[in-house]
Parts: sequence; C-alpha cells; structure tokens
Amino acid sequence: MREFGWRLFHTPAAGLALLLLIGVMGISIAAPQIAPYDPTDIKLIQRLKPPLWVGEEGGVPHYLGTDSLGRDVLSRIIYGSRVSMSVGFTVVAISGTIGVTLGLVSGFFNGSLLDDVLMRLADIQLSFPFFLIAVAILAVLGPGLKNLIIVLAMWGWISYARVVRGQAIALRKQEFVEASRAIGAGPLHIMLRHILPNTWATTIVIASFAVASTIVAEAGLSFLGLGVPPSVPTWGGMLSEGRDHIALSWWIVLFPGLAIMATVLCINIFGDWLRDYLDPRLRQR
Amino acid sequence: MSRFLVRRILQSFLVVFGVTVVSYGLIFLTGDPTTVLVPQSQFMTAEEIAEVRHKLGFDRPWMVQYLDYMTDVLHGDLGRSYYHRSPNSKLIAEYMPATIELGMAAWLFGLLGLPIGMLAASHRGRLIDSISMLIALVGQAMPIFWQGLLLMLVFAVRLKWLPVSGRGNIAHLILPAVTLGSWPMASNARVMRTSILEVLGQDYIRTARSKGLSGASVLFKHALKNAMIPVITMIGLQVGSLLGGAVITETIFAWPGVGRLFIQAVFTQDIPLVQASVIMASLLYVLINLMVDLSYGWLDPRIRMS
Repeated sequence: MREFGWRLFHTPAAGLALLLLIGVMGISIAAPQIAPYDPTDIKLIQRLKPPLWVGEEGGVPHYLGTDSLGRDVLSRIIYGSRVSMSVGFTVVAISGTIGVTLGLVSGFFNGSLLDDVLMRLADIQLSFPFFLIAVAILAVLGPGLKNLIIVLAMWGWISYARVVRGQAIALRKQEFVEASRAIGAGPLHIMLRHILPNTWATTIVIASFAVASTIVAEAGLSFLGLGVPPSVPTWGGMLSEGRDHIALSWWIVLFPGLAIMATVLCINIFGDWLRDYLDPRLRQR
Repeated sequence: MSRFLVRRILQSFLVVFGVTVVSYGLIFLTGDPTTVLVPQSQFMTAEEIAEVRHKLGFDRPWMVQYLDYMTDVLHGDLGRSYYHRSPNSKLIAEYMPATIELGMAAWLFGLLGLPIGMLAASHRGRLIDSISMLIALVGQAMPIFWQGLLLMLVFAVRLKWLPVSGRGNIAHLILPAVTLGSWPMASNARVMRTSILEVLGQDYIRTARSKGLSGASVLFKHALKNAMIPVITMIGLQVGSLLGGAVITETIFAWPGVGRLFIQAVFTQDIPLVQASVIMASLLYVLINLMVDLSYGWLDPRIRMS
C-alpha cells in the first residue's frame, strides 16, 4: 500500500488523474450541496445566456451559461456526473461479476462442453456490432435507466471472461492447486480461494478501462435519446440539446463534452499507470 | 490453410444465424409481439388483439415464425417498413450508397494515421513523437458525437468554411468523414508506432543496419512489411466501429445514409425496418471481418502453415 502511494506520487500524471477522478466522484455524491442551481428549474426568461451571466436578482452567476430552457449548465453538468458515475460503476460491477464467474468456471473446466459453449457464445457476440443491437434492444424495450444498465452490462462481460479464463487455465496446473486437490479440496474451494485471488490485478485493470468505455457508451446512447428520461440531466443528453442550438450557444456543446472527455482521459491515464504498476514484469527493482 | 478457411466460414455462418435470431427475437422481448408491432393495440379489446395476432401469424410456434421470416429474407424480402410504407430492402439499398461513401472516406482518412505512426516511430522520443501521440491519445478519448459537434461549431457555424449538414459535393463530405475517421486514425497511428518500434528492435533489423543500409531503406524494405501485420488486422476490424460511429455521425450531420435511417426507424417504432437494418449491417460486418481474416492468413505465412 505504501509502495502504491510512493509510485503514484512519482508519476505526476497518474496521481493527478486519480485526484481528479476522486474529485468527480465526490462531486457526483455531493451534487445537491455543490450545485448552485436546481438543474431542472426551467426559467424561460433566461434561456441561452452565455457563461458568467448574472440574473437581475444578482446571486451566483451562471458560470457556464444557461441552456435552451434557462437551466444552469454548471448545475446540470454536476448532476450529470451522477448518472455517468452510477451507470459506469453499476455496469462494470455487474458485467465484471458475470464475466469473472464465467471465466473462472470456463477456465477451470477447460475442454468441457461448458467451456466450449461459453467461448463460442463470446466469439459470436464479439463478431457483430453490438452497438446496433444495443440500440435495437433499447428501441423495443424502451429507454430507461434499468434497460440501459442491462444492455450495457451484456456488452462487457466478455473481456473479463476471456482473460480470467486464460489465467485459470494456466493456474490450475500449478503445484499449489494440485496440492489443494490432493488434500481433498473441491473445485469451488479451489476456484474461490486459489485462482480468484490471483486474477484480481488484471480484473481491476479491465474494470477501470471498462468504466471509461461505459461512460462514453452511456453518453452516446443518451445523445441519441435512448438513455434516461430527458428530464434527468446527463452529459450526452445535454450535447443532444446543444446540437439544436449550436448556432447561438456554443457553451452547451463545449462544456458537457469537456466533462466527458476529461473524465475518460483521467480514467485512461490512471488505468494505464495501474496496469503498469500491477504487472510484475515491468517493475524495476 | 483450407481447414482454417472452412472453420472461419462456418463460424461466420453461425454468427449471421445468431444475429438473425437476435434480430427476429427482438419483437418477443416484451412477451407479446402484437403489442410491440401494433401500437393501436392498447386501445383494442382482448378479442380484437387475439384476432390481429392470428392475422399476423403471431400465435404460431416461434420456430415456425422464425423459419417463415428467414425464408423471406433469403428471397430478399426483408419486410415492409411501417413508416415509409415501402419494402425494407429497397429502402436500405437506396440509402446504402451514402453510408458507403461516408465509410470509405472516413476509412481513407484513418489511413493517414499510418504515416503519422511511422513518423512518430522513426523520431522516437522527440517532439514530433510526443505531439503526434498526444493528438492520437486525445483523438481516441474524445467521444465521436462531441467531436462532430465541435467540428461543426468551428468550421461550419463560426468560420463558415464548410456546410453544416447534408450530402452534396465534396465539401459536405469533409466534416462527417473527419469525424468518423478520427478514431481509426488515432488508433492506426498508435498501433503503427508500437508495431514499428517492436520490429525495429529485432535482430534482423540490426543485421540490415550493420550491413550499412540507410535508415529509410531499413524502414521501408524490412521493417514496414512486418510491422504492417497487426496494423492490417486492426484496419479490417475498424469496420465495426465505423458502422456504429456512422449511426451517430449521420445523425449529427443529417447525412442521408443507412445509419440515420436506422435511428429514425428506432424513434418511429418502425420495428420491421429496425430488424432489417440490424441484419443487413451485421451481415456486412461479418463479411468484411471474414475477408480480413482470410487475407490475414494469406499475408502472414506463419498463419498459413499452422
């Protein structure tokens, strides 16, 4: 743990990225306390005001301007982080659990029918453009947070499954597994106590990148109007609105997108560092 | 080699089969396809719904319905669009050329990443390397819809150099193609750079250099061909991301292609067209991936032998 901190401190980019990420998470949790305005407060009289505009009543300026319905852009971005963070982590938690479980089972029983079927399924799912299917499924099921999470979780389980399976296959040949079996340990015990702990490192790295891609996917689907209901502020939804008013108000286009990109960049930078840190071969002693 | 071929083709069939099942199965997701396909059913009595269900054939066993649908598809009949009131195959064929045009232009733009990657690799550690890789990193991290909007904002709305949307002459193609092609370009640049650097570390390159061959000769005659292998796989696989990205790009720039057709179908609840588009797009995707895999086997003799 101490070494983690030391290395992080000495890689300023990754440390900064992690700090920003924690900041974003903190913002999403503390949104009601931080946001200067109510994100759903429609005030048509102050629609499409540029950044740093102050209303007649004075008070806090709208640092990032207002949107087409007079709502404060900064507040909406703050509340939008809630959707992105919650969808990102929930989806990764679900698909990660499913993927790791299936990967463990598949790898441990390598060569069995179960293994073959699962890997075939994975190949098939990888072989078609899941984005289109996701859109089509949402078209039939209807948009909404629950459906969005289900669809996105279905997308992501494969990365974990494949990698964990590979590790399980390699690990089960090791002596400590054999020893375990010799004293009568059942498959479940071996999988949970011996193989799983050794897969944490890679799983965490995959999960961190998956959060980034989930956030982008959620934003994309919200942009197309297939995500959460339009009254809930999301970064993608704000971009979609900004598109309609692009000629008059650049700030609705710029800031939500900046939020998405900054978050994704931070996750990628930190994830890169984490991967290098957890890979024992790359460490310099 | 032929075993590899046969396996790949079989796998492709399996995938297409899977896609048709999923596509057709969409209408069963909520349980009763009648309520999905006939919006007025919420106003009808139970008997009327049962009558419609019988007329549309939804009370038959699922297998029978699926086989019926597939026989039609194999004869070229992809159903009729509710919204457009014309055969889906005709609609898709009508809007496909625009998407192909956009896709090709984006793909070609993406190829620009290759020389950029080469440049970065050969000037490793210097300013050009850092700058190009920074651009590539940002290009990959930027969501495609945001990038499209920003490009539109800067070049069409503010500078007025290019048209905002629609399809017409070359000027109309530029912004959408750059938007769609940025991610492939960034990917290509990064992978090319990594691949070349890896190859340049190999022994046979050292041999070539010690023979006295010039830097350029080493790069182009020896390194490039081997470095291209992982890159070519990637380039072929980019079709997938292009398909998904085309949907968003066409929506932003009002480009009259299959992607926009698909999204419109989604929003007008035009399920037959949604199904037909998914099947056609997946078919295209699988075909192209198959060709890439086969050409990959041809290009890399090591694969051919195995």
